[in-house]
Amino acid sequence: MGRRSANSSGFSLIELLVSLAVGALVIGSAVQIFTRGLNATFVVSQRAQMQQDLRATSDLLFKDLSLAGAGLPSATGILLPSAAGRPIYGFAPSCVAKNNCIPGGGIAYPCTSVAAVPCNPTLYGLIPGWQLGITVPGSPNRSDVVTVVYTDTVFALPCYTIQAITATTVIVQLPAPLPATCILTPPLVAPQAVNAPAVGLTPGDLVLVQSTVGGNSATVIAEVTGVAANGGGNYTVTFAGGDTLNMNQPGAPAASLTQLVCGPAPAAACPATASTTRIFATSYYLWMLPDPLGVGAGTPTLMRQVNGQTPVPVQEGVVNLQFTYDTYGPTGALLNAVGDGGYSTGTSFNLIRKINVVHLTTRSQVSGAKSGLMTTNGYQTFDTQTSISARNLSYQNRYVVAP
Amino acid sequence: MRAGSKMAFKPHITGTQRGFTLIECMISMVILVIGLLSLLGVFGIAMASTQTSQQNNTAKQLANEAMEGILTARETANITWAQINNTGGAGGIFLPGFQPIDCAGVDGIIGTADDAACGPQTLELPGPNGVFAGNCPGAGPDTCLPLTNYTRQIQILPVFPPGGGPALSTLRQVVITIQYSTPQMSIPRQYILSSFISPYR
Repeated sequence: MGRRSANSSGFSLIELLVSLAVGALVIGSAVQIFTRGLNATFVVSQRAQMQQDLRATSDLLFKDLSLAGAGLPSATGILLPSAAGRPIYGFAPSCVAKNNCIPGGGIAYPCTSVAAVPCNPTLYGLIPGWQLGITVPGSPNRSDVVTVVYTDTVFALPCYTIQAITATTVIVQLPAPLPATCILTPPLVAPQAVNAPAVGLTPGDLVLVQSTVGGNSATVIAEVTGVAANGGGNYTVTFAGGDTLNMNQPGAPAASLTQLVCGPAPAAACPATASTTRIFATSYYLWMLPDPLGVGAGTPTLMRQVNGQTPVPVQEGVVNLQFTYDTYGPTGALLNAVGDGGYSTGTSFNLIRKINVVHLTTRSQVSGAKSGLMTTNGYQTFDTQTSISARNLSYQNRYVVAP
Repeated sequence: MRAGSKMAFKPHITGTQRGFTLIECMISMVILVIGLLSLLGVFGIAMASTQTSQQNNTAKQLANEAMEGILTARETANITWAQINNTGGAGGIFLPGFQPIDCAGVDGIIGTADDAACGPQTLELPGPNGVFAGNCPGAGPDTCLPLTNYTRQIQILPVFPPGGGPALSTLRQVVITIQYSTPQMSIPRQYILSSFISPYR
C-alpha cells in the first residue's frame, strides 16, 4: 500500500522552488504593471488638472487684456494727482499682513513720459510692468506685471446724478424717472444701490468722476473710503485722503476732487453731465505662495488684484509671466515686441496695438518614482504663447471723445 | 461486491490524458512574463502621448495669435480692407497655403511676406528642475521646442448672402488652419479657427 509508483509521485523540492520562482516573477511583473498604471493615472490626472487650470487662467487673463481701456474717456491717459506723492496700483490693506502683493507693496503709476519733469502720474488703459514682478527662485529674469484698466458695465453707477462734490465726498442721487442715458444690463430694471453688498462700492474701489470745469471736461480718479446711505436713493461716497492707493489728494492743485467742487449753494450747481463710473484697475503678477508646512521657498502663484481689494490667487505653479507689446515709435513707425511698451522711447501706453504673451508657464511637480515616466523628470510643464489685440486702446486712439 | 468494481473508480491515466509537465508550465510562464514586461513599454508611450496636450494648446494659441494680428491691423488701420485678403487675388497681403511658424516681422502681422526674415518661433519650457531659465536657443536646462513641426494656413474667403448673389463687400471669412505632427502621432493633426471679419473698426 505504501509503495508509490513513479507516476503518482508529487513535485520534488527543486521543482517546487523553481516553480515558485517563476510564479514570483509573474506576480512581480504584474505588480510592476499595476504600480506603473497607478503612477500613470496620477501623472495624467495631474496633467489634466494643470491644463484645466491653465485654460481657466488664460481665459481670465486674455479677457482682461482684451478689455484694456474699455470705456475710459481719455485717449491720452488720465492725469493723477501727485502733490502728496505718486498714486500706486497693485496694493491692498490686506497686503501688509499677508504680504501677497506686488513686491514693494504697489507700483507707482507711470509718468506721462519717461523724460517728463516733473512726473505727471497717469493712468492708462494698459500699464506694462516690465520686469517689475518677483524673480521666481532659480530664474535669471524678473517676471512681468501687467495692469489693465476698464470701466464696470454691470454696476449702474453712471445712472446716478451728482448732487454735490466736495474735496473728499461725492453725493449721488438716484433720479426718477431714469434718464434715457441710463443703460441697464438686462435683467436689471433699476440701478443697484450704491452700497449694495455684492456689486456696490466698497472701500478700495476706484471711481472715475467726470465733470466740467470752466467749460472743459475734467476727469478725476478717486478711491472710495466709505459709503453712507442717506435714504431715498441718496448716497454719500467718501474719498478721504490717506487712502491705501494714495489716489485721494484733496490738497493737490490738479487732478483731485477739489477742482471739481460743485453742489449746494454757495457752490455752483453740478453740471447735468457730471457722472461717476466705477473702474477696475486689475493687476496680474507672480507671488511666492508660502508652503503650508514651511518647506522650501513656496509655490510661485499667479495673483490677480483689483483696485485696492484683496489679491486673489488665480493659479498655482506659474513660474513665468512675460509680455511684450506692439506699439508705435516716436516717429509713428511700428515698434514691435518691446517689453516696456515703448516707454523708454517716450511713447504713450495708449498707443499699444497688440499684447504678446511671451510666456505664461505653469508647472506641477511629479514626485519620487512617478518622475520616472516623464520625459521631464521632476516637473510637468506647460507654456502658452499668444497675442491679444488691444482692441479698446486702438479704438480709443482713433476716435477721440470730443470734450 | 466484486473486487473488480473498485478498480472502475481508479483514474486511468493514458499517455494522451496527461496534464502539462512542470517544464511546460514554466516555459509558458516565462513567456507570459516576457509578454507582461513588454506591456510596461506601453506606459511610456502613453505618457509621451499626454505631452500632445501641450501641442494641442500651442496649435490653438498659434491660430488665435494670427487672428488677433489681423484684428489689430484692422483696428489700427495698419492695413486697408482690400489688403485683408490672400496674396494674388485682390491685393491682399496674407500668404496662401501652409506657411512655417515664423514671428510676425516688421509689420507685426502674422502670415505676411516679411515673416520669413523674422525667423521661426520657439516654445520654451522649463526643464526637469521646473525652473524657467530663459536660455533658449541654447544648451541648458530649458526645453526648447522650435515650432518646426507646425504649419499655418490663413485663408480669407468671400462670404455669400444666404439667398445667393454676389459676395458681400463688407464681410469676409477668415479660416486659420494649424497643421502639426508629433512623434506620437502618425497622422498630422489640424486645428481650425474660423471667424468673420468686417471693415468696421
